[in-house]
Parts: sequence; C-alpha cells; structure tokens
Amino acid sequence: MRDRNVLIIGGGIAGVTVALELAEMGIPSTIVERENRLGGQASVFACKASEKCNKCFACVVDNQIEEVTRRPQVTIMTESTLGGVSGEQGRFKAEIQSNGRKMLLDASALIIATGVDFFDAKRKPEYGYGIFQNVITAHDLDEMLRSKGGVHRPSDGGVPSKIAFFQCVGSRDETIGHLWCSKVCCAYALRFMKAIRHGNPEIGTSFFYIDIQPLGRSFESLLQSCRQDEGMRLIRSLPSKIYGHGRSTHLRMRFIDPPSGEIVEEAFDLVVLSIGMTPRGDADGIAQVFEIPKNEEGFYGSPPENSGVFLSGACKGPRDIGSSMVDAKATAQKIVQYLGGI
Amino acid sequence: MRSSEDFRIAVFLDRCEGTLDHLLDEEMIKYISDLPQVVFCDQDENLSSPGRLEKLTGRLTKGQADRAVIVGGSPRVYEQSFRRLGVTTDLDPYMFLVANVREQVAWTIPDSKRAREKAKAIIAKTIKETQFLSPIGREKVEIPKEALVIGGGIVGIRAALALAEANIRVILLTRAKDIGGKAIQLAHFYDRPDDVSSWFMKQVEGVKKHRNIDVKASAELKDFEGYLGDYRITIQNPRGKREVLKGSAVVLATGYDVEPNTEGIFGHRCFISPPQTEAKLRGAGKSLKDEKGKPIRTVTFLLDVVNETIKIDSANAVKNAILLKRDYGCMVYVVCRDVKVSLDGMEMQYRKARELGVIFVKCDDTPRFSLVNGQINVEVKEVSTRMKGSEYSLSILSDLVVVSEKFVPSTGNQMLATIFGIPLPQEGYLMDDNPQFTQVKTNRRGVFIAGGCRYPQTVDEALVEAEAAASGVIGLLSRGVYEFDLAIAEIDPARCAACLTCPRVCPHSAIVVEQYAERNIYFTGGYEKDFKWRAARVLPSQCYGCGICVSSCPTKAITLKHLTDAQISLQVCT
Repeated sequence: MRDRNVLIIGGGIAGVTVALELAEMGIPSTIVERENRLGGQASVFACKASEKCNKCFACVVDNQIEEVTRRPQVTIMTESTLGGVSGEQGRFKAEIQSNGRKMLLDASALIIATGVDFFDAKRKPEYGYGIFQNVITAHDLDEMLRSKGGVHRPSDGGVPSKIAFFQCVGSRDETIGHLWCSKVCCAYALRFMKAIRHGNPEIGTSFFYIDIQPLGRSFESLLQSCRQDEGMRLIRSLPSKIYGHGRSTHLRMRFIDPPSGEIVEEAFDLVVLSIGMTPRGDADGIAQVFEIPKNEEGFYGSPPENSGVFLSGACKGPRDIGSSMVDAKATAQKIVQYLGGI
Repeated sequence: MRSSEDFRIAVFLDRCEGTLDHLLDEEMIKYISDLPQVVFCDQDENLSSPGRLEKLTGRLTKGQADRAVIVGGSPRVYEQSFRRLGVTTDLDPYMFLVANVREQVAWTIPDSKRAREKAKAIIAKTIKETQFLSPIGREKVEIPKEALVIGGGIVGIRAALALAEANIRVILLTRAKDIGGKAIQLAHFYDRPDDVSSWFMKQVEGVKKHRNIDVKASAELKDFEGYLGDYRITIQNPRGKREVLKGSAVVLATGYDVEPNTEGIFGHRCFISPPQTEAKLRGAGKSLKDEKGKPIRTVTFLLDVVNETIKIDSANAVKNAILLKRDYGCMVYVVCRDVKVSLDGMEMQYRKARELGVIFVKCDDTPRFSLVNGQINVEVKEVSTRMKGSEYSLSILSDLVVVSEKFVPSTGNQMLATIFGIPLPQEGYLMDDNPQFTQVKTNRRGVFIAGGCRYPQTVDEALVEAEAAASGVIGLLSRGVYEFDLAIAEIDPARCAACLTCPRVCPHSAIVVEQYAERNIYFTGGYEKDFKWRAARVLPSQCYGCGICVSSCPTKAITLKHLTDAQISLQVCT
C-alpha cells in the first residue's frame, strides 16, 4: 500500500508539515489547496521579535513551504478543490477540480487539514470595527508590521501613543455562541506588545483580558517580562463598548478598573482586537462527505476508526503554528501505522 | 593544487526579474566572458523560479565546465536548487559559488558607476575563489530498524507502541520497577468518559505483549555513545550488572518531577494534593468522607500559587470540581489567578462547572489560611468583590483544600543532558534543537525528546508529542540507510594535540577522541611501530558542518570541507 498516494486536503501549515513528514518516510502525497498559494492562515503573520526571538513561529511557515516545494514525493495542486470521493477505505478515488479541469486521483489515505476561519470582528458591532478607522484586528496589525515595518494609526498615519489590545473577540463569548478558547491569542497579543514596545518604547500598551492562557514552554518567561514592563498594563477586565468621534483620532472606552472595582473611562488612539478562530464556513460539506462527526463547538471530532480518513491541525480545534506542526507529525505517524509500517 | 589554467568556469547570470538589468548588461557580460578560465556565460530572467536553472545549465555541453558561478541574488536562493540539479548536469553540487550583486550592490549602492565597479570586484573575487573548491562527495550509514525509548511513563509507552506498530524493534527502558508513570494517578479524563485505569492497563498490556518491544525495568542509565544508526546505551541493574543496548535512534520521554507542599499549615490533614484527590474520588463509592468518617462538604481548590503557566492543575480542578459538585453535592470553590481553558473542550467544561454551582474565585495574591474547629479557613483577596476597608474580602471554611504540587524538571535532567549532550537551559527542561524549526528533535541527530521532559503538559498534549517524536524516528529509519553530503568538518589527526577543545564546543556531539592517528607532528620518535596516537575524529553522520570546532581548534587541525580557511581569507581580504 505504501507506493500509493496520500491525499491531503488543505495546504496550510498542518497539511504542508504532514506532507514533509510523509516524504521523509518515503510516502508520496498530494496537497490539494483551494487558494493560489500554500501556507493558509499561518502565512499572514509578521515576526514579533523584540530584543530576542519571542518564539512566534512566523518564520517557520515560509521555511516549511520552501521545503515542501522541493520534495519530489509531494505533488502540489493549488487553486484546486475536492469534488467528491468514492471507493472504500484504503482505495479512495478522489475527484479534484483543478483550474476548471476535473481529474481522478487514487488515494490510500485522506488527511483533512482544512484549518479554521478567523472571527469576523464586524459581528461584535459594539467594538466599532469597520466603523472607527483606529479599531483594527490583530491581523490588520500583522499586515501593517509585515508590509510597513511599523505601527501607525490608520486614520492619519501617525504613531499611536496608547494602544489597547482586546482579548477574546469571538472566543469565550456566549452572546455569539462561541464557547471555546482560541488558545493562541493571549501569547499572540503579548508578543505583539513586546515587539511594539521594543521598536517604540514611548508607546504605552494595555492588555484587556478574562484569563491569561499559557501557550508552550517559553510562555512563563514571556509573561514575566511583560509583567515587569511598566509600559504594559495587564488589566483583568473587558471593556463593554468603544466610543469614537469622527474627527478625533481618540477612542474612549469604559471598563471596570480591577484594583478599585470602579467604572473608569480611558482614551486610546489605537485598539487592536484579538480575533479568535471559528470552524470553517464550509466545514459541513467535508464533514458530510467523510462522515466526520462535529464536536459541541463545531470543530471536527475523530473520524470513524479504520476509515482511512485522518484529521490534522486546527480543524480539530484552535491551535497555534507550533502545536499544529506537532499534531501534523503525529498524524504522519498514524498514517504510516495505517499503511502497515515501514 | 592544480594550476589555475585547468579550471573551466561556467557563469550564469540571474537578472532577478529585471531588477539587475542596469548591472548585468552587454558590457558586463563581455567583462565576465573575457575573464580567464570563464568558458561559458549566459543569462536568465529569473533563475529562482522552478525549472529555469535546469534549463540554463542544460545549455552546457558535457565536460565543458567543471565549476559554476551564479551572479544574482543571495546564495540562499540558489544553493538548494543547484545542489538538487542531479543528473541534468555533470557539475558537482558543491563546485559552485554565488556572487551576490543584488543585496551587496544593487540594493546598497545608488551611484551607478561605483555600483558597476563593486559588482565587477565581487564577480572577479568569486571567480578567483572557485580555485579552492573541491568535490564533496556523499556517504551512507546503515540504519537498522531498531530504536531505544527511555522512560516508562505514558509518553514512553505511546512512543514505543507507535514505533513497534511501524515494524521497528523497540527497547523500552525505565528506571522504575515497572512501566507506568504518573498518568495512572488520574481517576478520569477531563474530556472523555473512558476510565483511566482500564485505558491505561490496555496500553501497558499492549507494550508487554508486543513482539517488537522489549521492556528493561529497573535500568539505570550509565553511558551513551555512538551515532545515528549505531547508538549504544549502557545500563546498570540494581545488582550492579551492566549491559549495553543498541539502537539506531533514541526517544527520551523521562517526564518531570513534582514537589509536594507540606510545609507549615500545608502539612495539616485537610490539605491534600491533586493525586490524593484523584485517589479519594476513585475509592469514594457513594459518599465522600474524611479519614475520621466525617462527610466532606466543602472543598477548595487552590491553583496558580505554583505552576502558574501550566494547564494541568486547572484542567484537573475543573474536572474534579464537576464530580464533587454533581456526584457528592459538595460546595466547591476554585481559587485561582486565571482559569486555564486553552484545551480542547475546556471552556465548555468550565461553563458546566459554573452552571452546576462551582464558584471560581480570582485573586492575585496567595490566600491566608487558618485552622478553625478542625476546618481550614481560606481567606482570599478576591479581585472583583474587594471592598474598602476589608483586605481579605472572602473567607471559605473548607473541609478539604487541594493544593497543587509544584511541577519541577526531573532531577535526572542534568545527568541526561550531560550524557546525551543536550543543552539544558536555566529553567531545567531538556531543549529541542530549535524550538520552532525542529520541535521534539534534539541537536544530536537521531535523538528525540517528548512529553514532560520538554515541559509539563496534559496527557493529550504529551501523547501527541510522543507520536510526533515517533514519526521523526520512523522518518530516519524508513530507508534503512542515511545518506548525506560530506559537507562536514575534517580533522587532520597528525596535527591534533588531543586537547579536547573540539568535543567540548561541538553542539552536536559529533566529535570523539580515539586512539587512531598514525602520525603526530608533536612527537618525533621513540614509540613502537604499531602505536596509535590519540586524536579527535568527526563522526560524519552527526556533523552539521557548522564550523564551530574549526574556529576554536588551537592547532588549526580542522578544516570545513565546503568552506575552507583559504576561501574565507580571500573573501575578507579582497
């Protein structure tokens, strides 16, 4: 069975890492990616180093993509989608639509690595995303750092003096039915603050949160260094609403100040919303084709045993780049076991 | 060295999508073609796009050139693709250099006249440098399908099973009398209904019955040596008998330790640890009583005093709080700094606990404890209800207080780091080679780490790591041989003074000192005919070719085959 192809649906970091890991074992695979490039959601991030590397994993993505394109065992099909699957387990026939053409592919196993969508911040209108120019998402900030190399106010291009990071936008929120933690956003926002304060020490940053969620082995030192920095305030409180004025760069917000327990009002000139992850909009279709159950949150649960279908990465629930890669490596192990070992 | 007339250099120009057109024009091509030894000069619009390099080098006739120079962008762009050209050209993969006129000239020198001069200088220097190139060659080592797994906890067990299922012979070593570890202390999983002990026994049985797995219990590690494909571990049993075990690759899954807190009031019988809580729940039956037979009505979980950035305690507290509240009707308080919900399905569990009536109390400071009529009074500075005048705003009279044990690096990590040559950072957990690029791999090729020896994590996360490490081993072992370029360091044994500097500085444990040198320039005679001198030797399959040993060798006995000192001198001095 080993000479037969493993089909990977999704060319994000999880799909790419599975392909690389399988290639190491000499197992050929085909990546089917809907977009015109590999990398998926993981490829939009900017490096968040301050005086030292903050272990954000952004650099790994380009490296993995470069690596996978060089492997003769891996076939990459971009701008392609899965039409349907027939055949029984171990001998699948997958119909792929690639650039308007239809083709049939043999597959000995199928890996679903379709990842997640990011939360649309417009669904929380009280935060004013799309209304006030100086309210941006963490991804907009990433884009800003990646393309312009620094942080600025979208309204007038000036360097902001006070930045507020709002955590749990689209996560842990009963009002929109999202009862899950996106796991990565605390570390993500703290790294942002480290990187910004390293480049512009005059910028004051505030981090509004419910609970700080640890991520990975280096989180302890990251959190300690943030707590020691006087220019970073960690505030256990989520503002309820943002008030803005058309002609002013400033945004006012009201929140409960934890030490005093009183309602205070404060102005910031840039608000960054740490948007969470949600199950993909088209998750149902794939779940139906492969009979994958969905868990309470709407992410994929384990596929039936011995079905020849495997899951990898964030489609199982929010994951950061690092854990998606470890998860992908573990998936490769399951595949090799399913295909009868080496 | 061969005379320079013998060289036949092919030069390929990359115009980098037109961005180098102003430098690489007709005049420049003529300049390059007129340089001595240049036998071929051609150009392409964009050499970094797939297939273009193959096409350009394909224009060479067989034997026309013996070394190549690419003029264009950074070496990073071309190096890998040039080395993979393979059969399309008879050029040696290492007989080529890059003249970077994009970053070093086009992007940095605006003045066109100066830029042109600089570009010419760089190209001329690079062409001169080709005289120091020599073919590198490849080597193979045999890799039998055998692996060693160290650590008999759940991670070691999972890794051993994963390897055995992939048809690899596994020796599973544990220091303890039997395999097992800490996971067996759990009564339930937080996220699935399976009973831990039956699930766990199934895993243990699986290991013991598997024909590909040998278990060596009560094994104390004494020594480790060798290289990928031939690692040898020396173990010692309690009676002092030593044994050497062989394996092609190694997975370290030695876990972490815990430090219970029993100082002062924490020694009181009302304070129990999370494993004691699990044991109590497992043996509780229908009602929960303390050892005097009194029913337990109020339980307080105290989190984040230790282990603040580890999720394990929080997950177990939420899981057990639900059980205590739902099945035994206890009042349950969870006192913590942050509720860690960043685990799959944990937020739902947390909501469920709150709906059942478990009270989560957040505080930034350690609570105050006092003994009141045989109960523990836990006084907390709760963050949101703190009122003026009362510092400790909440007091919880508890029958039981569950205090976390501090997770600490295993005391054996220092010894493991020393004998395996793995770096041990200040916090005391074993280090991956590069925490981003090569997770679970260590700096020693073929040695992997997984689970609690990296940092304490929940059972689910640790199992995924065990499988990831197994996947790495399977990848290395699948071909039966490991083939690699000899782009490594090489030691001239005659010049080696056996000072032991290089084995100490080598980050990859790739240098050994052995008695193998025929000659030694520091001794002039007076020794027997077949005598061999001690000298350092590079284990080729372990070497990453980083050059650290080269720069630290006091006698200059080491050369880096793919980047010699002569090349560096030429680069620096011209």
